[in-house]
Amino acid sequence: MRGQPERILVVIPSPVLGGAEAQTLQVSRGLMAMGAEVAVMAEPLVLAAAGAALGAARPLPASLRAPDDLPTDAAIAWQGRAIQPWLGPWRPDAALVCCPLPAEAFGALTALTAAGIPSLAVAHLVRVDWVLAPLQRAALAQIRADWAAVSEPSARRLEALFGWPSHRVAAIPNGMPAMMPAAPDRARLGLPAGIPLLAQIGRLDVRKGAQLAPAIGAAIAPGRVVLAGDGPLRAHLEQASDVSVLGQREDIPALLASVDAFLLASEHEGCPLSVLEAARAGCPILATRQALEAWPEAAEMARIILRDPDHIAAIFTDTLADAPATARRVARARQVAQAWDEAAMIRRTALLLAAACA
Amino acid sequence: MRLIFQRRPGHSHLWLGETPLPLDLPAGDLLGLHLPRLAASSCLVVTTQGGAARLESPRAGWAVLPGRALAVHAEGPPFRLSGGLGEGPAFPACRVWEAAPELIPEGHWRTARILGEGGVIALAGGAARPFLRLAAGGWGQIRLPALALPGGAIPCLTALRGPLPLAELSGLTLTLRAGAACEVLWEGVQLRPNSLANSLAPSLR
Repeated sequence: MRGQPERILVVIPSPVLGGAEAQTLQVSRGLMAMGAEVAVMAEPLVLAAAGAALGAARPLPASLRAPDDLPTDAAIAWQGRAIQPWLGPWRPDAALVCCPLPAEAFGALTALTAAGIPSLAVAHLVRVDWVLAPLQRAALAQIRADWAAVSEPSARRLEALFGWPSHRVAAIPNGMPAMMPAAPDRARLGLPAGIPLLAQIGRLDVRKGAQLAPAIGAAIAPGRVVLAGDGPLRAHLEQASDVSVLGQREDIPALLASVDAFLLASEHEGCPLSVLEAARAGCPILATRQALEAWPEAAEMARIILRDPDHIAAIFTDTLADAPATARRVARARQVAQAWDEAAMIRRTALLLAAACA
Repeated sequence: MRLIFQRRPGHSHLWLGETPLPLDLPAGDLLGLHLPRLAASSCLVVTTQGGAARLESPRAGWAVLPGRALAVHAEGPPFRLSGGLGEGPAFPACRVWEAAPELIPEGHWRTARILGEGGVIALAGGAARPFLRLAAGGWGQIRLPALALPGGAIPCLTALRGPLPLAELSGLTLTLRAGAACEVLWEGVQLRPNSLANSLAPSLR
């Protein structure tokens, strides 16, 4: 075939390794399995945290994060200068650019445009209340790239943010591979037996609703809220009496098998992997409408909650009491997660990359 | 499509002429060979179990040809193939993919004729599909060469961007009419449910 991307540069301009970055590495490994050569450019700390998740990709450490005190235009230029040296010796056929926030990779995309490298930028979180600063808007006008977002609603919001016509942005919903079923094991996880447990997985911050955990724990006592993850609220949450903070965990399937329901009380999300993990594990899902916006079948696969501890506690109690309805939702969630899996996500990304080169 | 064997291109090369070079490779359905330079006046010919696959004027980079490859030779002026990384010129850089069984064979998609803005796209050795980019109110057509299908067929389309356009399949010519701007892949055909080939009815009688 001619004009197909064989050599792909993946740019991850994030300060930490989170869900968006993990998803990008998941796609990178898929592209390598399809025969492409991949190099991953990221901050040295992010590359170190990625470890084995890089697979056979070539790591390219670069200082993609400008110091906080730089003005917008200087920060964009900083990132462009950081990526430029690599575009000569290891010239890629195409670039896949992870954008945890829509404008986070404008510098890299500007440099890729200047070098004539076709790029696909994937936006992960797009809030409805964001606006572009004039300097960001000026930078966007210089960028020639194809764009995608992790859900259809996010794609429509990105078009609104950028002032573009409808359907210019593609959607690449996240997908998970099938997971080995795990056995419940509360003892190994240090969790109490014989009481209801409600688990939240992800960063312990206000966006994810982690601050609600103490009040929810009190409302479902003697049940407890179990938090897996790390973040700015961790120290505060460790003081709460009805909350168990496990920190970062690798054994998420075992955790999901050991609890009675999964909670995601986010105020914004793209296409959260933790929902897919819960769906794959057969764990009942309690989540806000915003957290489930990527799935049109949200009400069939999960209980919709408000960001209110009493409401969450009431829905949790109802989920435990109405076993037949809960089983129906669990089955539907599993079906939805299986219908759009990791292979579908990788394939869609590969085709969009190829279309960017066409 | 799955990559089952790979030799990455190194810095060595071998000249390919009219004498067939046997390829001792795992059995696959798609072969990629790597050229360090464009061979504008030559033709890359791969002898396969089913005949021969040819690629005129192969460009620098990976040239991908369908079929279970046995040997390779050049027509026209000799040209260079890249040697395998760390293995030298005796072992040409290559990739072998295994295809999943498909109703329309991979090679057929690759010879699609496309009227409109688009092409046949794939990533590396991934499944190739005809692709059309349509403006609002625009139309396009994809023609595949004649192929015997076991029954009536309806097209299976994927929209990479925008809504799916109206689609009409006549033989193996697909006509698309777009109400809104979109990018569309023709993924395959589904045999019509009432066709004999796709129905359980005969076995239930």
